[in-house]
Amino acid sequence: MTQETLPIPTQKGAEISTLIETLHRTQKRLEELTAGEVDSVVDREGHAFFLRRAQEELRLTESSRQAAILNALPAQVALLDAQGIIVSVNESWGQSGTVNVLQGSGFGVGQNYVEICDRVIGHGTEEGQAAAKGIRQVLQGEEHEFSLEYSGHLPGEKRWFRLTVTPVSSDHMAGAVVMHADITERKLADETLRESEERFRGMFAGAAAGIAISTPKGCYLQANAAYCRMLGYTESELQTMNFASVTHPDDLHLNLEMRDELLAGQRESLIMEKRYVKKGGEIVWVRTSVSATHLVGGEIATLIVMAEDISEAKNSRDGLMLFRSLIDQSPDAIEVIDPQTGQFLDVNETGCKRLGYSHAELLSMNVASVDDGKKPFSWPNALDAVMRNDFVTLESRHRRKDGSTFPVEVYTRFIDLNQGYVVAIVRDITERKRTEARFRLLVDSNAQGVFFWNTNGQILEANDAFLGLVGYSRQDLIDGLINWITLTPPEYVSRDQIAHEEMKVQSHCTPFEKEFTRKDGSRVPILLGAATFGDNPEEGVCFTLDLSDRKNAEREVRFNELRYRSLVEATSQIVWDTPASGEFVVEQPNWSAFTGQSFEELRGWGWLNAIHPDDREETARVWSAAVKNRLPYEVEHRIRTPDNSYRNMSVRAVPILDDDGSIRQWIGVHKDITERKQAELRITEQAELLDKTRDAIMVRDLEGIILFWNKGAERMYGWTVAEAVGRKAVELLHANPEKFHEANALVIQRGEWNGELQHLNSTGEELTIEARWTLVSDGAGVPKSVLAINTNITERKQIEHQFLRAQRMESVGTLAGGVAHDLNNILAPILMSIQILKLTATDSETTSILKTIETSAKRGADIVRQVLSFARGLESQRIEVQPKHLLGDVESIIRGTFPKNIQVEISVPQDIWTIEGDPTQIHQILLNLSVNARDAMPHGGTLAVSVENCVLDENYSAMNLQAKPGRYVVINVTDTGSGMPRRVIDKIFEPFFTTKELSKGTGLGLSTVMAIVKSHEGLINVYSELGRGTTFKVYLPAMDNTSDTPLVADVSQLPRGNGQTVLVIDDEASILTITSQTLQAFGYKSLTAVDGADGVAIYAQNVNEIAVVITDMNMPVMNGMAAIRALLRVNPNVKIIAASGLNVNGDAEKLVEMGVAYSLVKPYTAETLLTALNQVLRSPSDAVSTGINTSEIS
Amino acid sequence: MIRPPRFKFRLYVAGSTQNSTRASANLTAFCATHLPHRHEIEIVDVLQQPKRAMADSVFMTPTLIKLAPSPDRRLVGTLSETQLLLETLGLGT
Repeated sequence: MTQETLPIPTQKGAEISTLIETLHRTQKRLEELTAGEVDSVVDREGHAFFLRRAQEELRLTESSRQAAILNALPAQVALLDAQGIIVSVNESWGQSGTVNVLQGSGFGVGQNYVEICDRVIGHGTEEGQAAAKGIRQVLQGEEHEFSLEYSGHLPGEKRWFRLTVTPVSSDHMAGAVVMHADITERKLADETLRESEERFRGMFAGAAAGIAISTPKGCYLQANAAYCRMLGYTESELQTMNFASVTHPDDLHLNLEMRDELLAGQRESLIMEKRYVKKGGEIVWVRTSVSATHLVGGEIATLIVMAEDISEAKNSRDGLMLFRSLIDQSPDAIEVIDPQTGQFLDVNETGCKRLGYSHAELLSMNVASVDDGKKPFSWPNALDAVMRNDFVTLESRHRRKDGSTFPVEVYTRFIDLNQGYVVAIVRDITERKRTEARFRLLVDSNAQGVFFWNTNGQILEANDAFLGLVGYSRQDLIDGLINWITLTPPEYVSRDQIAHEEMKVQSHCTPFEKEFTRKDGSRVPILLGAATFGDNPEEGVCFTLDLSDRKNAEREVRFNELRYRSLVEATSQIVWDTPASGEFVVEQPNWSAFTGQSFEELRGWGWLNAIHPDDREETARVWSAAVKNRLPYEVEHRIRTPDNSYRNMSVRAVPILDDDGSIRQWIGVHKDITERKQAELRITEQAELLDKTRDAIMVRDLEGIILFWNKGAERMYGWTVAEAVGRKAVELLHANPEKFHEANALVIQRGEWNGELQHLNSTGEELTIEARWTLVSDGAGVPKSVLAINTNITERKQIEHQFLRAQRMESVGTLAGGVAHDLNNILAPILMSIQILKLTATDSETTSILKTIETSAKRGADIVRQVLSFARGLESQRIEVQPKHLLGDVESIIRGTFPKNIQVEISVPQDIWTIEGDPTQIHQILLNLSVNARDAMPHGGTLAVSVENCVLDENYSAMNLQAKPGRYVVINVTDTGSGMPRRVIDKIFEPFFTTKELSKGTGLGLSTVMAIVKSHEGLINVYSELGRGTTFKVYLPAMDNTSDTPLVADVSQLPRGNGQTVLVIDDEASILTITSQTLQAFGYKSLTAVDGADGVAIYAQNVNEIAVVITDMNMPVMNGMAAIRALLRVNPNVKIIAASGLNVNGDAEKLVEMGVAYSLVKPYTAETLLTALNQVLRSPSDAVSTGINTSEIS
Repeated sequence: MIRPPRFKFRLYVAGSTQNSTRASANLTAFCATHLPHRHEIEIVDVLQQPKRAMADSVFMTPTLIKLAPSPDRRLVGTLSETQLLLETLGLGT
């Protein structure tokens, strides 16, 4: 920046000086303060004041920078101000002043450039004026830029320049920059390029070959005339197309591939033969050569394609190749041979393969080397033959590389082209030779007669076999003596005719049998087959087979058959035969004799009628199947004999097959097996018996392992066959192995052993077994096994025990009786004496002593009396006893003598029946029972005695074997005492059994009662519950005079059922039956089960149907308790009635808890049963307990 | 995740004097090192646009103004002292 200094007045000058000084100092201070880091200071208007150093810098750098830039340019640059005056120039400008006309002379700084341009005269006036105009426009802001190209030629040198004028500042007129650039080089380059392009164009257009230029992608840019002609498109058409669209699709892929390689730089050029598709669709084969032109950077600019039409060449080449392939693939070997040397010039593929040599190998060989050498081979001779004749065909053998030889037929010719060649076509005739050989063999063999004939009947040729067959000689043949007509007997002429007709149609005839007449007049049977030769129907060949042997064989067979048949008839079994169809077609004397069927009856399928009706169907079925499937036939059936009995027969038949595998006939045999069948039956029956027996029969081996286990054993022990067989007997059965081993030793020693053993059954119960063992030996006497037959005598033993006990009891009784009797005699005087003494006694002490003695003696007498009556066995009367009176008597005694704390209730219904019995004894019963009742209630209680009518029905007697059905009067004696446990109840009726303390009871009371009841043919039952009380029920037969009352209690009163299903579970079949019948009679449906498990299963299956379950409580396997529990699991709301004998005692409460609705006491009457059912069914689902059936107590 | 704050700078220079060019270079380098991808630099030449200097009340060049994140900060000088720059920008440790 230049600073102008102007003359200024002093006042102002001083101010100015001061300001300048201030400015200077300010600058300096600012610089100090900012440590030289600040370039400029900006005032509030945004004007920047450069600090000193920055200014300097600017000045220096700016200008130098500018200058450096400008001077570096080769172009000449001048800076004009707004008027066009040159303000500065760069170096180039200065240097080229002389050259550039427009520059004029000198550097020009300060001159107005525009005017200079304007004033250019002579060469360049135009340019100059144009330049001036342009510059002015830019200076004035009319244009943003001006440029002009002009030439400035020196002599001998062309030069071009470009003038560019640009404004200094875009927004205001501040001058312009003028630049002259020397563009000579570029121009020259342009021209060269243009020239080469011209040349190229000429070449391009005029070329004979088709040339096209395309983009790298293949879009046509240019195409010369030849190319266009080749494709049939105009250049402009092509310019819209891509080369791919004119390329044949089959060639396109390869083309593109190669093109891409070219583009990728992987190849220099692309040369291929391909097809173009012309405009009309015609195909033309071309060879294309594609190369790429590159840009300066190496990129591919364009592709240049040169295409040459090679259609013709291709055709001819194709043609050649086609021809070549034909030659190669010919089935014959084709050889080209040098006539001079016989050397192979060429051999086709077949030839090479056949001979086993490679093409190259063969070309080094000559003809002689493939000849098999059997005959001497000379090429010159061969050639000679070929030359003399047009062609030569001969047979020979050739040798392969591996040394093997094969027959060939060679056809050789001489061919004269530019040179002479011998061409040989060689055919491998191995097959032909083989066929010929076979044929010859066939003809020459002596197996069949073969001859050739013609339709005139002449025999033209024949083999030896034929001549032999018909008995003629070869000379006869040659002489023509043999002809068809003389050979054929007249009866076969028509058959021959048929054969002839066949041959006319299908050139051969079906073989048929006939006869020939021999030379000597004899006949020979033959099988004849003829055929005409394909090419000549007048002639043919004939094969004849001599059937004499076969005919003989047939005769043999027939003879044998007859022999066999007569043999068959001689045997006792029925032997029969049928043809393949399976029916009888000839007489069967055997069968007829056995069954009595005549031939008419048995023929066809009639024989089935002799078979037992039950077996007929099976027989027919099996027979039909055998016939159909050609399998041996086996069956057993019964056949009726003439006396209408049946015999068991075992039948077997086999098919006899023909040579061709078809069935000729069936031959069968019936064997009478009646005895055997019966034996078998017996054995089966015996085996069944084994299982029926109740005894356990088992067989064990010497080790003790069970081999056989019959059904009885299963039942006795509970183990099934599967569980027992294979186990050791001692483990399975024996509680006491020692005993077993002892016995086992004995049986082996002695051969048998009998004894008693204790066995355990599957549930662990002990059984007493009577065992009978036998040692079983085989035929040789070697012991093999032990047969054991065991009888379960457990029950018997128990009964024996009981019997013994009864006996004991009886003897005790008898003894007691004896003793009592004696005692009676002893007591009587004592009692009498006491009576006397009582009279004399005065003092109280003596009296009381006497009383004591008396009481004791009386008691003694009582006891004795009881014992006597017991021992004596009760003589009793049978009269009608009125219960009312009876009870009346007893009542008074009881009320009189029993303690006051015992309440007595007596009840006798009005309509009570009378008892048939002994009143004294019945009285005794009542008394004894009442006394016991009293004794059971030491602290008081209630004694109830009642009587009622009762009919014991079959139900009841089924359950209680002592009871006969009928009318009874029941006496019930109930106390509310302590009750008795089961153990005690079992024994109460035993003599001398008592629960009372010594001297308090005889122990005979209940025994007496029992004896009385028994003698009345009544029953007694006891029910007791510990802590609750005891009831005795005594059933005594009622008097029969009220017989119009039906035995069965008023049926109409009994509550009926409504079709409900009741399940009855009881282990006694009789009870089940009776109960079932009763239920059904009274309107219920019943289901039964023999044990708890069964019952639960049935219940589970029929849960919804069964309304009530009545179950016995005392059953084996699963007792009542368990059954009830199981039933409750199935259905917690099940209604259960528990039925039991005495053993329910004590459990009644438990049953109630479990939900048993009702307890029936066995034996129960129908009435009791039905009433109970009715009650249970009427009650709601929840169990209603009544414990012991209270109706029985009151 | 909070994006780190984007820094916006405006550097006032006067033409291509030494200090100004140095300041410009230093700023660019600094931003490349310490604030990669989260800076914007605007260079204002007071010679070209004097009014802007006025608007921003810039009195000296080179002056760097940190426009974001707030608060604004100004620094005059060549910005050769990286530590000072870090502190001023609130990035220093």
